[in-house]
Amino acid sequence: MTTFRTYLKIFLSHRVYIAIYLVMLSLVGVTIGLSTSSAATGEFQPTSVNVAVIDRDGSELSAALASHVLAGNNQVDVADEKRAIQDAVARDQVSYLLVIPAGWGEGLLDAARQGTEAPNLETYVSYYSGAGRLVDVEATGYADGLYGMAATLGGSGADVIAATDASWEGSTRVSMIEQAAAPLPASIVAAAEFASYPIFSSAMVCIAVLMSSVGRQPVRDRRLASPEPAHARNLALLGACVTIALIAWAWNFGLEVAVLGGSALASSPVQVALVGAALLVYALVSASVGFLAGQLGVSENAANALANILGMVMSFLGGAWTGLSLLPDELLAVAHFTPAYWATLVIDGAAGMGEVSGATVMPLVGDLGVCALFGVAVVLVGLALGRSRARAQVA
Amino acid sequence: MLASLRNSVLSLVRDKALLVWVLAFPIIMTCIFMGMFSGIEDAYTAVGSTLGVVRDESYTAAIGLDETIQAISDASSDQHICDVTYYESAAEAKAAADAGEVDAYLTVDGEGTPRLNVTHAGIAENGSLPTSFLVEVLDFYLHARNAVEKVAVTRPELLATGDAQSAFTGNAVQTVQLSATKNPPSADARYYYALLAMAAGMGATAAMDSVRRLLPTAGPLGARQTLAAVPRWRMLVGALLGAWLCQLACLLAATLFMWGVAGVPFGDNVPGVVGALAASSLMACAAGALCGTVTHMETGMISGITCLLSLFTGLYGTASQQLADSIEATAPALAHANPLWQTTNCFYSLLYYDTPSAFLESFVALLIMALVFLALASMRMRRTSYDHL
Repeated sequence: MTTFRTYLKIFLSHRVYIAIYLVMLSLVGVTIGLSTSSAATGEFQPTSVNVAVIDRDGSELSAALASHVLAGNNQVDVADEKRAIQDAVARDQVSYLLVIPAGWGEGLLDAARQGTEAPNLETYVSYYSGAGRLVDVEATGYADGLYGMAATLGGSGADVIAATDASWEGSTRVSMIEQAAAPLPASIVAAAEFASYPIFSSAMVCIAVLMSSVGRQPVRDRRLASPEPAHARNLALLGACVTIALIAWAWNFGLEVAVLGGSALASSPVQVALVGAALLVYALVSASVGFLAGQLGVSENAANALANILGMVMSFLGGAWTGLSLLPDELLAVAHFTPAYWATLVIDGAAGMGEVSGATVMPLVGDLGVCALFGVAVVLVGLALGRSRARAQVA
Repeated sequence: MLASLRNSVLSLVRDKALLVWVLAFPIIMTCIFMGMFSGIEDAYTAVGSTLGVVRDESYTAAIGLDETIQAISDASSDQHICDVTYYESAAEAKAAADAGEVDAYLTVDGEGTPRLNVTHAGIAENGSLPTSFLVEVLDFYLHARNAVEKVAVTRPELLATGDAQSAFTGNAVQTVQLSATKNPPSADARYYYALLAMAAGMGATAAMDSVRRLLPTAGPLGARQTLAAVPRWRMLVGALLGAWLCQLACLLAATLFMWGVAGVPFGDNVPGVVGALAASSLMACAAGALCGTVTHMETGMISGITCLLSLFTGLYGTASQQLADSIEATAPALAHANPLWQTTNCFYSLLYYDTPSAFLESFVALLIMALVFLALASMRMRRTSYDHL
């Protein structure tokens, strides 16, 4: 018990590590959660795209098209200069930039009268072209409407716009299918998935720093010379590691629930509990990796590097940062061998759970078990290695 | 000076920490990114979802709706946006949606207005874009039908010949996609640039170690060096130059790997890329030198700070990129004060702009930061040396 308490004192004395890895990175996770727009449950919110229109035509028709495209989307003002357009597209400030060339409105009316194709519209699309395509469908749809009205009913520009606007009334009704369980808000899911990185890196760095200070030659010699048996010595260390993991988990998860999960806790307690359990198991696995690194006698510097590199690789492979659906199949196969994948699977599963029942919860508990097995395996390796290394050094 | 330079290079190569951070780390992450992003372009362009369609009387009565659905579910066409399954009744479709077989299902009411019923799971998995697409297509169908009906009131003869229908649905207006930037916008370049910036930032640890070894407090060796009959600035410059050269070499190798193996676009301005790497590593070395003069600074803290700064370059996935974008939009000065942001911006400007002004801005900003860090470090370094002797 004395050793255990001393270990915790050593951990607490490394305040800067705690401040950076535990406090700051987890605050970042919460900020990400706060900035994730959380749709009000029960109502569908259509994708809003950042759109800019450069109207070089200035006719009635082009103004009608511009206002139709901007309606329902986020309007971004972009000057009609090359550098401004480059900035907007390359920095992804706009997903869709529509340029209405000069003479377009007049050309459209002429083409409609003669039955030929209307002049083209020009677009610049950033790399999120899914959103760009959506607005493209919207813009060409309305422009087709203008063309159709001009070709059939004819009349002046104002007549054509009035007739088109009258037809462009009404829209498809969209409703969310009600489900038994309330889904978790997107904000807490985003924050929980990001948390895999601060939890892993803080637990591993803190543990590695602790173990490297315990492993310094004089301290190590004194520890090994004591009558304490190897398993008691290692258990005290393991206990300190578990405590550090618990602190990392409690801080991260507690913060997320306090800031983002107030309503979710009341409406879907089981799902929140599952997310918490996933993060807890992941924190314990992180601690076991830190423990293994310490048993291997990894230096403070190397442990730092390992914590960051492993933490990032795991969070990426686990799909915590970009979503599992984006991972190609080959990488998904590899991801099965990382604990982060199983933790993310539980978080995703809990977030979209249709109803809370044994049939939906049990598979997720199974995934948690798989994740926990990684930790058990790593700890066993660490204990075995620590024992043999200690023996080798005593001998 | 040459001796300190050689000493610094040798100890950095022997220590391996620099190699791990500035060379191995970006190469490992590049391999991961390569695997991950092999599908990302598709993810942004293809808008896939599964749609259930209730094929009842109202559905078949709605003129042209089935053609619209068939057009968007035809896997071979470029308008493909969803896969369709047909159901006989709304109850069957709802059961399928509850079981997760379809993301949404479509019903048509007595007036012929389509209604889309969306599952929470579908939105959670794919976001709202696929559904927005479906809504947009159905809206266009609805509006075109309204328009044809409106035309039929005044000119019924056009309806009989089919001219009215083809006037609205003949795709008479097309858009052409132009390219504003020197190279086409790339979704994954951002990750690689942020990675390079992080690797450069981590290089500060090397400079810190090199400078630390020269401090009189570093132990007997440091004390001897302080007493040596060599001007102090020469030793410092030598040590820093060594750290800088090592870091630059590692970064160049990492960049070559990204360019050659992962095919990351860097533009065609090779001197510009080398210049950007040199300026970034110089800035990192200067920052490291400054950190080296702070007594309680440890390498772990530098890596922690670099991790934090990397968040604002958008390294940690889509959520962090949105956060970085919103900070840049609301408080540009804050974003620009981040040295790692300036590094990524150098690469961005080289890739996208045909004028060098944006690149030069960031390049000069990096140099100014380096000078400020160096000036602060040298001031502190003088004081430390006299205080302790």
